[in-house]
Amino acid sequence: MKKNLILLCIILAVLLNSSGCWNQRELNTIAIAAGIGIDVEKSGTHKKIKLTAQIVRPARLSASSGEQKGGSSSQVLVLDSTGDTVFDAVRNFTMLSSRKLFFPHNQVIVIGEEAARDGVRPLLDFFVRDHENRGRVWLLVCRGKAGDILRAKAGQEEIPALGIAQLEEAGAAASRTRPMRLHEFVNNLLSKTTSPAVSNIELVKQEDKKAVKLSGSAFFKDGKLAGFLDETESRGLLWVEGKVKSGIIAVSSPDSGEKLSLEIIRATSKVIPHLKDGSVSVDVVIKEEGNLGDEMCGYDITSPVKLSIIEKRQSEVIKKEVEAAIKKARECKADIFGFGEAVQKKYPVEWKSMERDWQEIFPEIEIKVAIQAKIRRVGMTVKPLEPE
Amino acid sequence: MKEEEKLSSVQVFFLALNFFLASAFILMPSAVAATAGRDGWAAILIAAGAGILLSKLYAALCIRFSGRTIILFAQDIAGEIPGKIMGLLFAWFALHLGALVLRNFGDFMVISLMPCTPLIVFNSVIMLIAAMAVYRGLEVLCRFNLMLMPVILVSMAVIIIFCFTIPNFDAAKLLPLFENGFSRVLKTSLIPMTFPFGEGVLFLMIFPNMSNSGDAKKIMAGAIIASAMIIASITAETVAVFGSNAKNFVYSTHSMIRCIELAEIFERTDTLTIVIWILSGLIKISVCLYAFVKGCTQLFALKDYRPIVIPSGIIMTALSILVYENVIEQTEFASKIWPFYSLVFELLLPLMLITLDSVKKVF
Repeated sequence: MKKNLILLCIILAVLLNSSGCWNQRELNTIAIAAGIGIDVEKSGTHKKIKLTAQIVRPARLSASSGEQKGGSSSQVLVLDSTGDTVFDAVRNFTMLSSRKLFFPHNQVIVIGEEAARDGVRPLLDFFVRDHENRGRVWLLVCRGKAGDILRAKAGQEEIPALGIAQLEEAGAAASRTRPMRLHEFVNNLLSKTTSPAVSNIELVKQEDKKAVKLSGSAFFKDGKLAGFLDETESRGLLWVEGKVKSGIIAVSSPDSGEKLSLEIIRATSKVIPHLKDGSVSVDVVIKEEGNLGDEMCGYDITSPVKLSIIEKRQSEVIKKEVEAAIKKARECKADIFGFGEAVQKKYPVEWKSMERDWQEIFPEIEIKVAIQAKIRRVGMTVKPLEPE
Repeated sequence: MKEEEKLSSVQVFFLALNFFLASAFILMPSAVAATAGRDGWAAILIAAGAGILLSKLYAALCIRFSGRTIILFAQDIAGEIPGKIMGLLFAWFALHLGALVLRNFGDFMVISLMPCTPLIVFNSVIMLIAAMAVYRGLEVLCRFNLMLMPVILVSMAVIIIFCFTIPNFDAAKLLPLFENGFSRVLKTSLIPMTFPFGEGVLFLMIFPNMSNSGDAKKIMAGAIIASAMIIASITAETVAVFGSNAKNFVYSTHSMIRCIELAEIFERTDTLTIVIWILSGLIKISVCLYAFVKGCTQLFALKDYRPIVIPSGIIMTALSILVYENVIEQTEFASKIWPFYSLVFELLLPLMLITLDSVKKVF
């Protein structure tokens, strides 16, 4: 009995001391990266990778609730580092930061325009290969330098990168940009025909300070940034993908031309490819349900006939948005909708001969867009605020 | 020699189930995706069919020579010297397989969790536990396995269910079916047939200890079907989440589990993979070690197998460090050489024995 007790003590002593990792790192030795910006620096033929890391200062964050609140001190530290490769640049941070960068809590990766135009495949390999990185991180592209984006204020958050991440999530309420997580993007990047789109972020002035704003999307062709979609075109893309979560559709009233707004409640889409005599056509069927959100036109919506007029106009607006996106995609010969993959799924045999020339085939295919938009409810009031 | 330990059919069933699931749950999705693309799940189901045929062969041997292991009946059939050579080959297979599983186990821990920790730390720690389990005897190993089984199966069920909630889960990514022809899938099915289903040949060392060895056929078929369903569904899920990128991951199951996020509460579930990996990897390594140790004991007519458990464990650990130089070599070996190499032990050896025996009976 006594022997067992001693044994138990020894086992406990060993276990308690040997748990944990070989190379464990405590919170006070790591620098938690909240956001990473990737740019390229070119001098002549020489190309260097410039990374900007937004690092959380935990001490500042906890102090902000107490007496030290205020002042100009920021809750984050933004540092730049350059290197020949992405990982090289990551490691070079250790020469100016006293702590080693820690990636699992990284929220966003912002890629500068120049770097994105050179191709993102080589830039993203590190973030997929390294075990510390998570696929859930948001991926964005910005016009100009990514470093400037990470130095600006974002939303109401203390940590700007967190703000950008939440902008991506909140952006679903407007559905005017294409939020994209890294693992989804990488999956699309490996497709031979689909041109993935990601949110585009830009600098704006807010209370005399630099701040960021989501603005449309950017799309890639062959792993390289190929162009930007404005907000209308972005929504058009989301309609086709069935990814519109919410948003406002402004419709002009039939009598005055003034606007009334309809809130999107739900939307679904179906992409049906057809192959006839060797030519491809695609049917896009979008079903949408909305509610009347506000009226600025004094249009009386109370009769079913009048309601159906508005429903029709709503469909037209949606159709215009989709057609704007299609036009842009055709111009750039970029299959942002993934029609190629839809064809591949339905006609795998015929697809083999098309795959290589899809870039040329895609702009020529016939795309039929059918919209079924409904208005279900009109809110808490019935008639507009006008005397009869 | 200590009196024979007797195992119930339920115990052997779960031992076999865990044995088949162990490393395949983590490794199989990437292994089949490399050649079969998005049709990997079909290759696994086909392989399960082939695996059931193999296990019929093993069960037939077991019933014909009830109470004797392959090491002993090989000598009965082929004569002493050729039989001993066959037994030696079989023991080598157990040792090699154990070392490979151990290496996979260590590699996973190093690659996905602790890159700076030396491989030998993981390998020797897990081997220590496996050796202890084997030292305590087969019955203890089986009961230990029964205790772990609920944890493993519940974790796997949680993973399989929660993967449906991953935002970019889309079953349509599995289409089109058999794009590159069905023959590709058939060829690929050789991989899951030899790993893990064919590895059931090691159970020829365990069947004699069953109290009702007539159940062997049913047990193995049941374990193969159950494990194939689990492995095939996780394989299909990796494709539904990653699409064509699934083949690019070293451990696509693990990478997929990292994507799970449910209501911002249930995330970072990748620890579940580690739980499964450690618990069921441990059992698989123990079974291999037991087969090797028991095989050597009978081969050299030793009185008891216990004294050689620790040395065998050390040999297996050393071999696991030595087998590959790097992870590329491992993938190359596992996909190109292993299917043919292992068929020698999994199909050729038992088939030869049963044919020889049948021929002898006729004359």
